[in-house]
Amino acid sequence: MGDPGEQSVAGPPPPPHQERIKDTWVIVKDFLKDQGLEKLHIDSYNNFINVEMTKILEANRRVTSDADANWYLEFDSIRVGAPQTEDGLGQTRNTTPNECRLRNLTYSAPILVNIRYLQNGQVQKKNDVMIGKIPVMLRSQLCVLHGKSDEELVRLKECPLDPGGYFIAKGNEKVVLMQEQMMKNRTVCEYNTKKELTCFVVSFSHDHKTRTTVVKKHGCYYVRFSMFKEDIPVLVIFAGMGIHYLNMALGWIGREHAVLEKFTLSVDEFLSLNISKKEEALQFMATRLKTGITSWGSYKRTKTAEVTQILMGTLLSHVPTVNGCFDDKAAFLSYMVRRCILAEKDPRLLDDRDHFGVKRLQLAGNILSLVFEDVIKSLNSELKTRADKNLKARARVGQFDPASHFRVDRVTHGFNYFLDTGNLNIRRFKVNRVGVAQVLVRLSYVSAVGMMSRLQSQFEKSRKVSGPRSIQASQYGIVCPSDTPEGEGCGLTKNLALLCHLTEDASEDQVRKLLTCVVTKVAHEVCTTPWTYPSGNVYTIFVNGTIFGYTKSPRECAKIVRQARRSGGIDKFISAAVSDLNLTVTFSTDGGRMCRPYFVVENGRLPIQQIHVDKVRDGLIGFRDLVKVGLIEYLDVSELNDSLIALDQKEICAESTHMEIAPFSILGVVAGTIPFPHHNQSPRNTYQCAMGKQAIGAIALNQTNRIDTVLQVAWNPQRPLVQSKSFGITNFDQLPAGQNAIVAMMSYTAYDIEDALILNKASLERGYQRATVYRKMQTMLKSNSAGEKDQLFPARTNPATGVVYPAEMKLDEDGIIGVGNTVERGDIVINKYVPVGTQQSTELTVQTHGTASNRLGHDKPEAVKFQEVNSCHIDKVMISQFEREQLIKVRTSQTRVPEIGDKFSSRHGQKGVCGLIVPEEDMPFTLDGIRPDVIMNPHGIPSRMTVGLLRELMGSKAGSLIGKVFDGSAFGEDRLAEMMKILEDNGFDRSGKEIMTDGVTGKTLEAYIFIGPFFYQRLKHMVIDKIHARAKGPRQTLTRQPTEGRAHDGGLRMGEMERDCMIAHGVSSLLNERLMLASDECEVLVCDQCGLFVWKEVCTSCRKPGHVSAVRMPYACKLLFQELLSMNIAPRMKIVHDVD
Amino acid sequence: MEDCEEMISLVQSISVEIQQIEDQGMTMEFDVVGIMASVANAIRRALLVEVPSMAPETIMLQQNKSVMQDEVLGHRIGLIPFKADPRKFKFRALKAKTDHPDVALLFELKVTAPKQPLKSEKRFTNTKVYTKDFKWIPHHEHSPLMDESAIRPVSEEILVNILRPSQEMDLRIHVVKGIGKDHIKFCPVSLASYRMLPTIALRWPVEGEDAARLQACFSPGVITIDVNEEGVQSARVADPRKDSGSQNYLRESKRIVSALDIGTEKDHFVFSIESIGALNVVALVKEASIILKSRCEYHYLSIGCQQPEAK
Repeated sequence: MGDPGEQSVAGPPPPPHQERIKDTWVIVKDFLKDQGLEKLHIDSYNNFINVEMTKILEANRRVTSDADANWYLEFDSIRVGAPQTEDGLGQTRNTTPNECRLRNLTYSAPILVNIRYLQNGQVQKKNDVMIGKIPVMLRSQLCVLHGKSDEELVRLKECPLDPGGYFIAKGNEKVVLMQEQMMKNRTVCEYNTKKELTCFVVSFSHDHKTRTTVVKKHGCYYVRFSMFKEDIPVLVIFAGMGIHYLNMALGWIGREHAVLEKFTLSVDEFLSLNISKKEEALQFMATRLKTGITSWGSYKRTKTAEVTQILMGTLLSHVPTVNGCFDDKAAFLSYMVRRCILAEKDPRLLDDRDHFGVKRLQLAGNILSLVFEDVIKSLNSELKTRADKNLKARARVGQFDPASHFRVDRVTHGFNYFLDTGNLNIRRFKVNRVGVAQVLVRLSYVSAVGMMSRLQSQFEKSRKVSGPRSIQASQYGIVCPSDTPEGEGCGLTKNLALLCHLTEDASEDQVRKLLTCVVTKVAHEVCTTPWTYPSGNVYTIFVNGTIFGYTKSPRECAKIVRQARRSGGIDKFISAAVSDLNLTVTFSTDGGRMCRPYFVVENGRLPIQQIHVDKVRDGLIGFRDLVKVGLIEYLDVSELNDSLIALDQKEICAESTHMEIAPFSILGVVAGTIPFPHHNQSPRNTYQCAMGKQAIGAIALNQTNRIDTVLQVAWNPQRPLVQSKSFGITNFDQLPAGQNAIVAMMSYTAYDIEDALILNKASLERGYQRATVYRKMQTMLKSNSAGEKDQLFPARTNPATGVVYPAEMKLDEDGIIGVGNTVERGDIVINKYVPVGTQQSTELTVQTHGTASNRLGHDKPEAVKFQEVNSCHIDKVMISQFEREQLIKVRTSQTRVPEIGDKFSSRHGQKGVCGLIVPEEDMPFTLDGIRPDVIMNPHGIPSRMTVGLLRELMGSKAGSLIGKVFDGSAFGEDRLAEMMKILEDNGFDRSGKEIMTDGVTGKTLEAYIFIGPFFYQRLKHMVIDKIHARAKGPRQTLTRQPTEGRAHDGGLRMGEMERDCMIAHGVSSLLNERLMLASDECEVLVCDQCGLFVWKEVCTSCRKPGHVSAVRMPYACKLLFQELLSMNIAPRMKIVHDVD
Repeated sequence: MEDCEEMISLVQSISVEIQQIEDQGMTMEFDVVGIMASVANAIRRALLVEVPSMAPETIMLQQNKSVMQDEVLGHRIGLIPFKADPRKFKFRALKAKTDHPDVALLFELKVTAPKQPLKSEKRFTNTKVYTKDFKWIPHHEHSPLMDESAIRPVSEEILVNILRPSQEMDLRIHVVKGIGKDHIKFCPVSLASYRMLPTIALRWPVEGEDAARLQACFSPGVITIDVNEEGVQSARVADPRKDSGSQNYLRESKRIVSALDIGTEKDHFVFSIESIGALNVVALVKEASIILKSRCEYHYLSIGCQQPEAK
């Protein structure tokens, strides 16, 4: 690392001339090949299986019993077997992901442990005891797909392009989203909600987390800690630690005037408390202990001992107290106080909570290890209670065999509950999160891949805060600036950028060892010597949040670590950052930091040369090799702040430390599909990111094998004529979603206002944007405890007419509908009957057809009926046999030709519905006779400023003329001038405009029309799924009002605002009709005298014969009156009869 | 009848000139001078959607083991153009399934990809199904004049499907007569368009360097450069027909742009017609004219006029 400070003194040398390095993007390609975004999940899962699991078991390896002090059980080792499924009768068999998806299984593998335990005073060993099943991540090392070639994958009916990195739980694909969290053990200095200046730290230790706060109240500094009833003056804590306030505490806090001045009140307060001895301080704190707080262990301690324990252990628990020496802890506390003092004067020193340098990401592996630790703890405690019970029992029946007492289902269920519900509940850390695991959205390949890079933050979605939502400068290169949802999740749900990488845990000893080589002082040395803060250039060195020491040569410290990292001496992800503002040097080795690779720049020169890039392109060397030799290095967010990064070679100056590899990599995978995104207004790119995921295309290469709830597949997906580099890198060109169409940008008829599109009828007939929608219908044939099974029956004939019941007509002999049939609403697809009651005699359960017909009368029909409004074809039937159950899945298909009202979009956030389908002869045509497939209204362009759209059209037109796919990558695209030149050379107008003739009148149009090929996507929203109208139909049982929603064939609500309109119009009869007659009219009898409901001609409440009137009212009104009556409120109606 | 005379003189002023016929009569460029745009357009529209041609309409699918879904395959086959003279057939009644020789032709496509051993490299062999695999099954009533060479797909090299080893396709189709208005697969032309003849004139001589610049603005052949005895180059408009209608000249200096006088011949239409292959263009244009003529007659009758004398 060239030290910028030193060089500027000598005057920057002129940067030596260097050849421009071309095609650096191939490095991005190589990077994504082996550490793409989905690989983050896979690597973290592998790390969990290989390392974390053993560690967790190690920490929870011994189970003892209270009943028998000698008894113990120890786990020796742990491993995970191959993914298996039970095949009935306890038989297991290896399984594949595809089988699990189709048969609604969980793709999981057994966890096997070797145990050792005491039995009859002898040590028994047992190997490979199963303690539960763990879900297997696809493409992880446990998965059968690991390391398979494309051909082998295809043989396993798996898509070679599928990213993996998700789980399969009960047939559903589940992704564990990355969780964004605040960094552990880091001080945060800020004003809290009460406007108090605070500096707090959340310390994580092995099994709990605590929060220690230094707070400034009326001029004094206090420590706020959950175990004390009230805030304790800082100096009391110091005294309790046995540290003399004047010499030592002030040595750490700072002896400069400005600091002392602020601290005098605290000193005064301390003096007034008259505490001079350690014991007195402890006593002071002991009286302020919260009641009910007792530390662990069964024996009782004195209160002061309790306080000592708290000071040693829980307070700032991440800073260790070695041999009862509180120096490190006191120094850390002092640092917090010092931060408060300084931040009061200089608001720049306050922390920004949204800064990405203080965020850490949790991946699937980390989350699963949390779950695993939880289940293993409960497994052990369960085993302990069982052991207690068994060993205590005097008359033991046989030996106690712990292996048979493992609650295997507990472990399995723990994982499955997490994946099924997506809820993460860890009591120890007070974690209670929902939506951590989500169903992988398979609308298109883009949506599935996009989901693998999704990032969720902990902030509540409903809160209207702007801070965590807005994009932070520190997110540069880490998070995609475009890809975030609109609305409540805006800015909270993010997506990683292409080159973002997450660190793994590395040992901090490497750094500690290196740092001892430079001039540093430890805490004790600092406060006792004049070598302290007032001198102004003492930097505090932090290693993973704890103070390592102090130095006067911070750059020296950073340099030594950086050089070691670059030469491969220490882990490549260890970061070093110097902050001249905070006077800190921060070293991080922890996992979950977000980092990004950059070219190293030394002395204004790039050490990397063209030959390296060429070798990467030719596959001779890889990205990892470049990192190994120090040509590329990873910078995490905090080190980014301490670097000067050139965007391209032109920008490299003497102070530059790094250069961007390829600027387009600041975008994510989804935004990478947009051509020319840097020419668009930024919200348009955000809209496109949301819309690109809804485009219908190819989902996966194995899409014909899949039976999803809804699967939409385009007939003729095409690669776009203009692509960005990341488009090819992320395989979107192999599973595209959309088609190139000839688009004319002009107004035509009036059916294209408000973004509507006009489609050419002939194009649709030729198959433009055609799609098939596949749907799933499924049922389970179960058997109850009495051994009675659900059964299927073939079609029956109506005994009266001798004709087959129409709804059952299409059923095959096996009671399932035949493949190839067209199903209409009401048709029975699976003719299932469920046994009723338990009183049936056994002979009825005989399964032959002869007696089965007898059963028909007894069983309850529970057929799966086709409920859609539009008819479908039966595409596929799948029957899966379990031990005593059967799963039947039926896939229906429906061809969707684009029609008026279907939604389309370009790749620039320009969506629109089809407004008109025009016969081809009416379409305008160019001088060459070209008739457009799509006419797009140009009024959508000026206000939205999607210049990228216009450029894409130019690029496609020029590209189709010379047979080249133009590059639309962000910040490094092909030039417009080049495209115009091609157009001109081919006899076209260089602007892309052409003379057109109206197909209706035959006359030349008066304007030149911008026309050319262009990539259009069809979105999943289609009118046929939304069209809805009802005359009469079902009603709700409670209120007798019409049901709501299309799915229930509901009515269209005349709401308050519509009602207001009617009132304003004065159409009272119409209002009456809409609100009562057409809704829930009912007639009730009301007693004329008492005004209450009656149900006979005689009033039951007055008990007097009187007149009873029939009153018509909304049923909801009647209901309200009855509910009021039930709570002793009598609403009485006054009946007035018309005089005539 | 004055109107009639005027009409006759108008008709007589129309001239048709065939510019070129290529591809065995399948593409043609011809000029029609002296008509209005609406007439030219009527010819174009008739060619596109009213001149009948033959296309597959019914598919009887016995077997389809390929990866292509049945409905996609059906749609794909429907778009294959077939070579058969539509004039010899009648329209089939709507939704009829008959294969009567007057209305339909029966074709068969039966392909089985050979089985390959699983271990060998040949397991990835693709068997490509082309239109040449369609076999015409003549009806016994078909006249022997309709030989196989006349009744076949227009091209033999249209890729229909790709089969992997052991996959098979077995289907029969009815090819019937129809018009483009019903479905675009019946459209007999791939290109039917016209444009007005461009006119380019120079208001004053453009000489020297400007001449070369002017030449570069237009498509090749529009402007030629003459060199006189003194060696001065001057631009001359050689063939405005070759102009593509681009406005690239507007980028040039005002001196050049102001010298240009660009327009179109308002009643001179240059037609370009490209047949899909069943009939040649001349026959198609003739068919279109017949359709237009019968339409005119119909309208004359319906407004109570007498049928005009023959053209």
